[in-house]
Amino acid sequence: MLSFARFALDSIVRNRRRTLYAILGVTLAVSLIAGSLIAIDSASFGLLRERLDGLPVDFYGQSYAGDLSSIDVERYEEVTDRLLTVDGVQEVSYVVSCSGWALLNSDGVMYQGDPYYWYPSGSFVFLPSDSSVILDRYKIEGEAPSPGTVAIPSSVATALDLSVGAPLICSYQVSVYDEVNFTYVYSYVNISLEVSQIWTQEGVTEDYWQWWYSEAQGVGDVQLGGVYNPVVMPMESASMVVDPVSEVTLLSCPETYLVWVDRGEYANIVNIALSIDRLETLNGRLERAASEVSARFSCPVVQVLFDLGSDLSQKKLAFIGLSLPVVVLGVYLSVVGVEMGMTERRREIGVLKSRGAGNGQIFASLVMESMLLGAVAGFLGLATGFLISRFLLVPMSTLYESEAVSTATTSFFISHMTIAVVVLFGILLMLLSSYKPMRRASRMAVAEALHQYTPKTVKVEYRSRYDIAALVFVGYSIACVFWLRQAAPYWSGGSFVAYLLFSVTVIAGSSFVPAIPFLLSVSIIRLVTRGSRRLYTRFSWIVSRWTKELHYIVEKNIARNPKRASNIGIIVSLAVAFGLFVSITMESELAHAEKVVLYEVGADIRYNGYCRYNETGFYDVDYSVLGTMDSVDGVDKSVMVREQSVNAEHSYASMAIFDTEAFADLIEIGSGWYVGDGSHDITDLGENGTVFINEDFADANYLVVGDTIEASMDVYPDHDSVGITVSAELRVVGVLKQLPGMSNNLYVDSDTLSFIEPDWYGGYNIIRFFVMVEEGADPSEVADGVLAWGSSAGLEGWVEVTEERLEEAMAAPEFRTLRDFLYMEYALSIVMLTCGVGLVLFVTVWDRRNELACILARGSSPEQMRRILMGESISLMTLGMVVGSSAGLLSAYLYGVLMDGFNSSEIPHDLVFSWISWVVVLSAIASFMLASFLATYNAGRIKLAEALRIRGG
Amino acid sequence: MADIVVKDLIKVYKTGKSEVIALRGLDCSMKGNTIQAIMGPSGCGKTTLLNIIGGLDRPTAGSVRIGDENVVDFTDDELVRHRRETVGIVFQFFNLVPTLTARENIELPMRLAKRDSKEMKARTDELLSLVGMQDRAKHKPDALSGGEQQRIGLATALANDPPILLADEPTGELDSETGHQILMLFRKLRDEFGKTVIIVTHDQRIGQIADSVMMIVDGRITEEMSGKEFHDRNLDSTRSRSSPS
Repeated sequence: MLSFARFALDSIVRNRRRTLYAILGVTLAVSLIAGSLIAIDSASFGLLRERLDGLPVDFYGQSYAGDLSSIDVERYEEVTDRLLTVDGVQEVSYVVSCSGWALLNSDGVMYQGDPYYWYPSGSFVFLPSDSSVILDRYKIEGEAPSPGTVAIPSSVATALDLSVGAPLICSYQVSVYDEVNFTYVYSYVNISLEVSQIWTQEGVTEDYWQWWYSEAQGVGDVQLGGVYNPVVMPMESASMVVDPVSEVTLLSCPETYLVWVDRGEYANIVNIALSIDRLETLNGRLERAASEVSARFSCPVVQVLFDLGSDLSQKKLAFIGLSLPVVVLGVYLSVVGVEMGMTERRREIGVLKSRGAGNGQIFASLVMESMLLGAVAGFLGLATGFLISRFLLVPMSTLYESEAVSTATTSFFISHMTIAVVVLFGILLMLLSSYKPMRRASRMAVAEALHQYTPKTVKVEYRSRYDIAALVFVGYSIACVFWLRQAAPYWSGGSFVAYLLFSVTVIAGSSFVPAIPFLLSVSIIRLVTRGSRRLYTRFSWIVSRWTKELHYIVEKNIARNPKRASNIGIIVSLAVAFGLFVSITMESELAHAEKVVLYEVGADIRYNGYCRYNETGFYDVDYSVLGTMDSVDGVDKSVMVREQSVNAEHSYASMAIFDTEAFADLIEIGSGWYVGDGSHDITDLGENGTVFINEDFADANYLVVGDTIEASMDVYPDHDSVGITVSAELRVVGVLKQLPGMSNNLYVDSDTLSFIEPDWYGGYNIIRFFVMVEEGADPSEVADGVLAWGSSAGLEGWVEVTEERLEEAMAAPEFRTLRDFLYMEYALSIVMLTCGVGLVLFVTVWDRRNELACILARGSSPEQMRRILMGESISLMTLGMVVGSSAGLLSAYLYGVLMDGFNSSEIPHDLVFSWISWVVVLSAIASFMLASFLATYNAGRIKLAEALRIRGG
Repeated sequence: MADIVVKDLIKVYKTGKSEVIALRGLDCSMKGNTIQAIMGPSGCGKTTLLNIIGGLDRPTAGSVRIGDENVVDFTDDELVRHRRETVGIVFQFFNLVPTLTARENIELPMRLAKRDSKEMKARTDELLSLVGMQDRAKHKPDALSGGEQQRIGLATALANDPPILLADEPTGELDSETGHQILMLFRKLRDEFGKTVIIVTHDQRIGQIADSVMMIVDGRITEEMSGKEFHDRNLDSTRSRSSPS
């Protein structure tokens, strides 16, 4: 095999044109994979740096081994020295802490550190004499406190209104159990210490898993040695604190050892598993070194690497998976390129065979060549992938929600694994593309190969069964989608075998939906171009007005080489199908997310208010204010809905009570929300004693339109806690799925329950307002006004603003990243379309040089020649566009149907064909036209004398 | 039909770093309404001369006058017109469009010239009759023999009724009998239609129809004689070769 290497290398180097044809598709395909992996590597590198920057220490180990109420600097130094002997350790320091202190100022105001703890949460941290490394690594802005004084965090200073020089009162509670009186007797040890330093700190956290800590860290907060917002003293002054307390009780003073290593060596993004392993080993060795004090060490760097590592692998796999459409297109392009090369080499192969080469030898040589080509494609792909990765860093930074990622544009990182994976992909894809052409070429009969020249008209041996099978499978997949959607909600188990069969057949069939554009494009175009020449030559009518007198040549010429015709058609179809599938699906998802928000909120603003209770224990709503929502600045219209818990059909149900006419006037209710024959409308509730029920309630209680239900509720006319029960008989006039902004069981008009005074309702119900904002008003500002208004009415409330919710939905990082990545992938597929079509057309013109020269010699102008060639290519483009558009639309529709089945909301997925989809179609047409024009431009400038000397077709 | 006057024609081909001088200041004159044969060894420049007269190539220097017009000075558009209306080319390898029928191949130059369809049909029928291919009009080239293809090639060259017919080795791919038939057709075109026919050939029978025979060697005309003289010389040469020693 290796003996063919030189021959293969010669062939690649000698014929650069053929090499380019062969590797073009795979190179472009591999570029996207390389770009994604490099972007992830670079992003991870940036993210690792960012996360490690937030870690002030590499290892920390706490020990409680010391005697209570004892500060033993000698022991600390001994342990520190032993820790320094551990291989890999660069620096070690230590701090000692003691907790349980209340911090007060001279006015007796106490610092409320952590509101969740009921006991004083102040802690002291004592620093060693050389604390410079600690202050530096912990990014403390401030100096070490001088002996006898303390340094406090800025947030503590602000809370207690302390400045430098002011006294900080530290109070320790001592409790003694009085066995006589069965109670605790408390005493306090109070120590006054002068504040000499007020510290601030950049966002750091020692515990990576509490990353939110650094983000939630308030301005002026400090973390040090495992203590939050400590009071810091030099170790030499610790006795000022420890001794007074020790006289009455024992004080725990644990020490914490802080260890630093070379992060560049130990935290290596290239091999995370190895890095974690080494750090864990080092952790163990540190514990051994500090075994005398039983210090337990933790390594937050391991946490960072572990988190990043699992994330990295998942993301890499996900993006490789998402790159599949471009990979498929690239492989196809390379198949076309390789086949063109093989056609040119038939004579060469025939000569080799006539000289004694066997089929196996020819095949081995071609395999070697393919592997070399694949490696070349891989390395070229890495280079172009680097460029693509710069664009992908933006979506990556969105995904990682980190600005540090986008700054990685200035620092590039690629791991060895990425290089290996990309080159390997290049080789595999190249082998995949070349396998069939290589096999065919190596098995060719010698005589056929020696007489071979590019035929004038290609005779095709075509078997349609594979394409028909593919279409049948597509039909099956479509059926599975609808079956799954219908059957899944009702699947209640059954036997294991039935479930297995269902899973294997229906679920597996549905999972092929993303492959439908590919299968449809390839099989339909192959059937149309190779199965019957008549059918697709009809597509040439589209250019008949332009080609005019030469139309008959165009019509006949597009049928002369069905293989090339199908190649062009498939390339166009795949690109368009993919682009439309992505654009329609993304825009439909976006539109669906918008609709979900619109229906969840219901109006521009939804105010949700709870009654506020007064001292008497009853709610305190000012009903005179309740009706004045429209007077709030910026409010155009509003409607109030009271939600009440009622007893209906022997179970609890939620009832919405509102002015239905005003509601219908304010909010558009789509007909899709009504269940039944559509003859009912929410305004039917204007008739007294009527109710709309929701679908779930109807199904649960076997209710239909026309039934009567009795609803009862407790009301409080005397504003006491006892109340009375009132009931109403309500006739069902319609069934709903839900209403915008409301998902109740029963809906009645307020007139139906007008016998209940507004102030009789229990305070635990919700009062909602649906508010439409005046044109030009800022909904967020109006929402603030509404909140204030609600408060004045005696309500505790919160608002939901549709505009803000929409922004949140649109800003979801995974969605944005996916969308950006897929659109970039489509852009790359357009490049591949341009290259692929250009390649095929260029070779077509080259093959037909002699014929084209004859037509020119017979009196054709260059412009007429181009019209013929462009006419041919536009006809084929039309075929590809029609098939590709249909495949893309169908796939997007099926995806929507599938998503509807898994949709938790009642809102259906509608197909959205937005301007982006138009851009998809038009960009495909534009790139095709560009490729055709460039490839055929020179056809009119053929050197006639030279071309007419060429023998053959 | 005007005479064709070639003066001081030079053509240099540059291939890579080397230069090949195909024509070295060639002078000649071809009378209208005659059959002019051009002969010579391979690479002597005869096809180059034909290509330049036919507007398929441009010379490095010199002039080619057809009547008052100098082909060398033609713009690209004028060259297109020249190829469409003034010359018709018959190729050695026929060079028919494989996807078109015989009739459609003949119609092609007329379509390129945007002729009226009725006129086109009439002319095509006339040409098919001239070359004796009426029965094979609907066949594609791959269904025709070499001789039949060359007849269609000839008819195609005459589609727009050009005054000058250029033929590059028209009998090179044909058997003896078929080649003779084609040569007879050329004679008919001169005699009945007043065409000027310029034939590049190795075919020794050309003397039977040619009015003059030009010998080119190394890009220059070395000898000119009448067709009869060529034919007689050929005959003598054949006799001397077949005589017993």
